[in-house]
Amino acid sequence: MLRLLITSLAREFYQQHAGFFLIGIYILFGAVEPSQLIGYQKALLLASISSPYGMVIVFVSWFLYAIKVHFFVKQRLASAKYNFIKEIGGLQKNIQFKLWLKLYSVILLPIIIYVPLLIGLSVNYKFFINIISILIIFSALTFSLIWFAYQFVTFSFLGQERRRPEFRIKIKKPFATWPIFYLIKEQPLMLLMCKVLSLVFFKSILWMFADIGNDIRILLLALLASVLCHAVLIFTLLKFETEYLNFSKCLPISMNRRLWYWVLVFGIILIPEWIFVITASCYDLYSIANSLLFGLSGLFFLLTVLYIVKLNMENYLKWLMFFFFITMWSVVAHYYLFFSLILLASCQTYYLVMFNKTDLRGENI
Amino acid sequence: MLILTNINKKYGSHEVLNFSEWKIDNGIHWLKGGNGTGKSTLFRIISGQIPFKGNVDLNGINLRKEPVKFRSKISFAEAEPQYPLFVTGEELIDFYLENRKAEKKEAKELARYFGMDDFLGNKIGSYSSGMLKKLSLICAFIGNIDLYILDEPLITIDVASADTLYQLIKEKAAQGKGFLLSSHQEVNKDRLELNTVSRIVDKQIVQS
Repeated sequence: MLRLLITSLAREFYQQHAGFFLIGIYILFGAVEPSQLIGYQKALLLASISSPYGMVIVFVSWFLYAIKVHFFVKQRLASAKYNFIKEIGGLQKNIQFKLWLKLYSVILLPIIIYVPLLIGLSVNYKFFINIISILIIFSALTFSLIWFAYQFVTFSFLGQERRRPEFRIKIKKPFATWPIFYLIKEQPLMLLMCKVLSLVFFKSILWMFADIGNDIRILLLALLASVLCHAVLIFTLLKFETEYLNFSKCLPISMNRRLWYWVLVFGIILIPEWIFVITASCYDLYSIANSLLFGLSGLFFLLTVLYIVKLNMENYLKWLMFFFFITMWSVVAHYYLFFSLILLASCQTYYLVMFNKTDLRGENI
Repeated sequence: MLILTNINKKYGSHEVLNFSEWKIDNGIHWLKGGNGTGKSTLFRIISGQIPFKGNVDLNGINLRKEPVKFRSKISFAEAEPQYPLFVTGEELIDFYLENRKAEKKEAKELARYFGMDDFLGNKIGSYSSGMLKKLSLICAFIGNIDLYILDEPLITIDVASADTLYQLIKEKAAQGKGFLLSSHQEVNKDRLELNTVSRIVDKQIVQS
């Protein structure tokens, strides 16, 4: 059963958050030269344990990660496709606890790696209160995750139907906005987490290169981090289109109109990022225009890749790695405008040519 | 007239359809067959939903060459329709009206016909499977269509709605429209006069 849980939940969790981990790995390991890596890691850890603010930042990050894990697992358990996991509900309580503990040990690995390092350094520098607080917070988070999973699997049939307050304001939803309403109404947590992570990574990149000054390339690298945070969101949107908007494929809608629907959706999704960009660029029109183009072309690339790999998550990840490195190079080498234009044009051409030739639904048959 | 030539459809290495020609005139045509014989795949090909090898022409309009014009002449109601749960029936119908350039009163009439007029303001997520099927049939009948493709139109709907559907098909067929139906259940031949009955056997369409 553990093997099944790891392949179905842990593996999928890491796959679905590849963009997030890619940026995290870059910030933790790729931002300095290899010879300075150990010193950089030690400095980061020391900065965390040497002040209460540092510890608060670490604990808040762990808390956010745990929330993300919790809602991911909860969403999967609520889905009919994962009903087989509810078989665990028939096991004894302590066996269930052990099973969930082993699963969360895999999912919480990015935190678990840092726990002994933080404790070791705290012992070395005699920050004994930190040791206690690290152990308490980490144990509490792990136990809470296990407890919620146990409760959900064993007692979900006792849950009362939630009654949401009904607001009787009728908003007419044009077809083009249905993907946005889908995110707001049916995937609000994913949307919120995506935007929080996008903001955190955007600000982190700006902060990392704060000494360089006002350089458009830094702004675009920050936006690249934000775009990659949308990898799962775009996957979800295309899944939604494939499953729920498939009927529109046999309606007389021109390809240009379909393309404009996506432009509109991407433009709306990136509104918070546009606001970050405008404020971070100090209202420089050239930077803003480049960022708009860069952001839209980035999301279009994610959509195009999903068409190419036919919603195969593993292949999608490989393309994300490729996209990350090629985009980094293009931005650092000052080719960002050329890169964005080529990327946008080629993605749109691919969409126009391949839309009628690709059957995303059939691939799942 | 609908003409399919040199049709080949595979899912991966699994070949579902492979035939050189199939023609049907206007009228009512029933495609029989068990699960997995390729009926829904054939309907999806004709409605331009999935890629395939070969050609599909309807009254001289080629699906590959003029996909938008072709799609304006056909209507496809899936066996198990899926729509976003947060939109209302009315919003979905409005989208069909906009694309098929049809009048609102036509949709109202169809909704009344199927007994759905009181539910169109509700979200689709609150519909039963029968109501969902009726909504898909209302959408299918909107606009000036030449060929209606109805995949398993009788499943999940009640007897009264099935009567309504038979009546509607007869009215439209009398106006010279074409119908391509699939059904596991026997079509009541006393209530619906069929022009042809075909089945898919070994990837080919054979007239019974």
